Amino acid sequence: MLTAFSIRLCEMNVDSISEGNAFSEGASLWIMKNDPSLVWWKKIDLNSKYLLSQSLLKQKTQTVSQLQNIITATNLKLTKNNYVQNHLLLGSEDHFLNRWVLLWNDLSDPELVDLIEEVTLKLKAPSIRFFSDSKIISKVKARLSASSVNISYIENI
Amino acid sequence: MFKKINQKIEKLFDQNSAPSVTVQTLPDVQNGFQIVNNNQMLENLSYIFSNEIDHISLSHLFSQLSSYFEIGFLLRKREEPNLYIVKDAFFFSKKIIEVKSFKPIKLPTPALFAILITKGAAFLNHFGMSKADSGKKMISYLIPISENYTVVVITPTAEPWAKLKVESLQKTFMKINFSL
Repeated sequence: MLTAFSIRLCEMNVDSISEGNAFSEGASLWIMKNDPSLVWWKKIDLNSKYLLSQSLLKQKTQTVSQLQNIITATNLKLTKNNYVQNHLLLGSEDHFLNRWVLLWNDLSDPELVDLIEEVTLKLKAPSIRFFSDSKIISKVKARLSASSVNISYIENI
Repeated sequence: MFKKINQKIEKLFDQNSAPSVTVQTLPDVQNGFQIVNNNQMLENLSYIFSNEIDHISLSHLFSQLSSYFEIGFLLRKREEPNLYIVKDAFFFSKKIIEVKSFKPIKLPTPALFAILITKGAAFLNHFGMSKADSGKKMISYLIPISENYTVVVITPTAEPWAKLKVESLQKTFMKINFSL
């Protein structure tokens, strides 16, 4: 039974995309390590008018003045969420033929597979494309086999 | 039970479906690179880096230049006068990891943000990268961005066009707060 199931999974294709077609349509969620020294990181950043840099580097005003005024006037307390920032999901429909870019950082392979599974299923993304980390593709493929998500990756990443 | 099956399947895929690693040669790296000639985009970097620059954002900023110039070195001043070591470097969009192996280099100290021009070979030969400029067409542009840091970008682009781009780079640097 296990063998038959495995054989069926092996038949699922992981598409290899040439570098020239990296930004072509066919994947709604793009996945990449958050490493600005990566060639693809720079290409995606540049082609989205620095979307990644803006989201990661540009420091937002901590508290807008109007909100600060309300807090002062009402004696309310402002609480901060101490969530772990090891990934960032960005909407990228305005820049590419996709819908989201998922950046991740400081995650082990099993944690990354868990994250990709969670994000893909929550977003109901029908297809994902890897711009780095080709070594975990097989694990993601096995994990997402039941939800028939198309997986592709860029050659020479 | 399902977890075990999952693990077995993951192992099964592990063995044969990982994409193969390819080794790139120098011509491959150079041919695969496409330079960005949008000087306005280059100037827009000053907006992204409008906060005070720290060591991490300096590396990030320098890395961004690799889309606009073929080769680049970020040099940090050592205690000895005019002697600089390579902190970061890129080569046709790829980060050079082994920068510690580069020999320290003596550099002039022009005014902040002043541009100095010389042949590319002056830097490439010193760092053992002379093969990158076999046509002897590369030109180096040196810009000190703070008391301790200097950026060198090297490009084969003909001077009239390269000059415009380097002036855009200079404008960008002048709008950024380098307190390092």
